[in-house]
Amino acid sequence: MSFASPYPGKIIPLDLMNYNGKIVCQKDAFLCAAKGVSIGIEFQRKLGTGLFGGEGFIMQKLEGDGMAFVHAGGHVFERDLQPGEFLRIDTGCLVAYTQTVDYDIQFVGGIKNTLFGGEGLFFATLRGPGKVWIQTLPISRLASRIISYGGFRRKEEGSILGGLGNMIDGDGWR
Amino acid sequence: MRTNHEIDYRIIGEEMQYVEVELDPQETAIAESGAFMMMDDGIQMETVFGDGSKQQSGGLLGKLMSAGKRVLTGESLFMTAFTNIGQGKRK
Repeated sequence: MSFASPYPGKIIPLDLMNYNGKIVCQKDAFLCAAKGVSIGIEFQRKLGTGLFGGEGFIMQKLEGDGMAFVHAGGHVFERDLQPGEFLRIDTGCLVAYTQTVDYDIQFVGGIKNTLFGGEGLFFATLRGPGKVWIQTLPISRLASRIISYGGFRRKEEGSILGGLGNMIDGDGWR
Repeated sequence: MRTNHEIDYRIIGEEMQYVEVELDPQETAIAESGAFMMMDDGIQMETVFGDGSKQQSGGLLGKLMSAGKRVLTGESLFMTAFTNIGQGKRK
């Protein structure tokens, strides 16, 4: 049978046997798996990571030795981190990591970055060894962009008729 | 040696993908509820409480615990299990 992903993105096949039986992934990423794979929760023990890591205190863990499929937005790529290799990523872009990776957060620093950077106040930091999966388009980012086009504010079409024009197009009365 | 079921799969599509899972007889795949798209004749769909993994057979309380945890991650209480009850491989 077939399972479809709920929004534009990639499906990542994960053979848990290759990752010592465990992968931690973002909430809601799970799509399907072979029977026997257990889907549980992973608590972030670090207070800062839980509060500011973008994924909250609770992530999903997949345990077992079968195939599991997770889904994430946009393009998804994997990156192998060497022991001690350090990567800073946007907190929303983290999809999954193997259990050997150390996941933490880091304050962006600098007054201009903090006030005007628009990138949030924290980076997620990942330290190797291990493998991480990164998405280019977190669904929340896509959703907020779509919402900005919805409702009254029509940016790309519409005429001077305004609300009356919307009514004529059948795009809603209000 | 694997203890979990061994499933074959194919990922189809570019930006809007789906995964096609092929099951041998008596094999089962589990999925997030709502992800289902299509299945062959001979595959039985069953809604299960929790994820149906063997570690959870520890009585009702154990099942409730693990399902309750799943609610915290934003997944639903129930999952769907698809089992090939026919002869030969089915998709």
